[in-house]
Amino acid sequence: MRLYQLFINDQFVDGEEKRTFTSLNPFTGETLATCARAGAADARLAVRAARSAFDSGPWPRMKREERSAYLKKLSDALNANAPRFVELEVADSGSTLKKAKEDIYLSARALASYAKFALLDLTEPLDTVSRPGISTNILLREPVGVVAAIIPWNFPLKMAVWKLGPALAAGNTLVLKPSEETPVTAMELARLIHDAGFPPGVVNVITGFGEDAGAELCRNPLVDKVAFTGSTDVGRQVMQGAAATLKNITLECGGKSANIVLDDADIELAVDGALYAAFYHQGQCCEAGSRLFLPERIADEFVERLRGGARAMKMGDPMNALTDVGPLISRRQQESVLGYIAQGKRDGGVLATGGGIPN
Amino acid sequence: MEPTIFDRVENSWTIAREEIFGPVLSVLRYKETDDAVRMANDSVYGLGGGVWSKDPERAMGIARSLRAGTIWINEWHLLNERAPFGGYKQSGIGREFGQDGLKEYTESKHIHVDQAGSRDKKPWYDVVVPRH
Repeated sequence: MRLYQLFINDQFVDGEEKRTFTSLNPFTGETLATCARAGAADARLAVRAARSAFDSGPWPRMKREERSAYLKKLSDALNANAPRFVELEVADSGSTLKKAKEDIYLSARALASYAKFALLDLTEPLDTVSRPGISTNILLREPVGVVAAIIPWNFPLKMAVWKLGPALAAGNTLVLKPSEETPVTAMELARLIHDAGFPPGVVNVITGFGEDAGAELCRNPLVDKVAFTGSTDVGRQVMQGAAATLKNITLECGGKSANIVLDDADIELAVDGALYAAFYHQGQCCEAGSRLFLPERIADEFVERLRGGARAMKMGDPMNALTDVGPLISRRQQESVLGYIAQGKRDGGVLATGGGIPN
Repeated sequence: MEPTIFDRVENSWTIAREEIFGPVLSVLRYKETDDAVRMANDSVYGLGGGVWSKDPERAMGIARSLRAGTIWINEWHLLNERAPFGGYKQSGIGREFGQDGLKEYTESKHIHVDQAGSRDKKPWYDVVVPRH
């Protein structure tokens, strides 16, 4: 069983109140890890570390090439540790082995990509504004400052990298709060960051819950930007928390994406595509194609093929290389989904397939 | 949980409007393509969308009409850290990835350096401050 502490100012520390929480394996129900639980005070400590690292530390003042080298080093370290990350990602998030392998590979690739982004000079000379004898004009782009990043549980490592990468590439410092459902690979990444020698306070990772640690990050006046990925409901709360100090915010929230099949589509391909769009990671994707629009003329045949395709998908242990459909992230999420299925039946939906829990 | 598919769903139903975040697919039937586009856009969300067709022009026309931040034609889910991703409407604010995504983590600062030098070249005398 793994034990994780908070990563603040390049040190691994307990929370001030010594509280902890556990992260479960959603397939087996076993406890995977015990993590320190950051409260509001710990969040404030992490923010002060990031603030200090930005205001007086070396990171924003380094040459672009130096910051780029750190990101490349982290990418290499992730590649070197890929098998361990894959296994932990499966165990913590219920991602299938197939998905987790791709996730870890793409995360390392993204970090290498952000290492290149870090080299970009986004300064614009404003040639059309400058006029001889009147003015010369230039547009600089500077790091926004201290970034608080709050991420979800569906792509734990990718989500961490998608925030860390651009934040650091632009010269910011960061406090990252992974989801309380999936803290493990973020904390493993913190270990790689520590070993790579990033200056203290540049990246801080605090495990905990939205109601205290997350809320503090959203409203803390020393935070310049909040970057959030998660549900629209929580996004609303993040925006409200950030409103008092008019923080810079980016929100990546929910979706009900429409997948439209035209009558001239390649039917077989469209069926497979629709299944992939809707059921990848058990439908736990913000961009899932959860509404499928079929022309009346081909709908019966299409639904019949969909039914066959859905039933052919293998459910089971996500650690098994043959599994297509792993578990949902939690019992609570499962109950929520069952609630929607019941509502669909009440409204008169025709259940083509599924609707239940396998034994 | 078993992959679940509901057929003959209406766009006004809860399962067609609210994000379920689970393996539940709603199938809605349409007669005219315009209806499909109208129903697709009739959502508070606007994160992704897709079109399946062998006709590139038809598909692109629909892609342009869908109010969402990423449209896949004969594909889904594939993203790239160089292509901005994000939502219209209540699917989000701002974009991730690409230079657009990078700029979200910056502040821009316009610096104006006077090259006029002398007073008589300044355009704002006699607007508030009298010319001496």
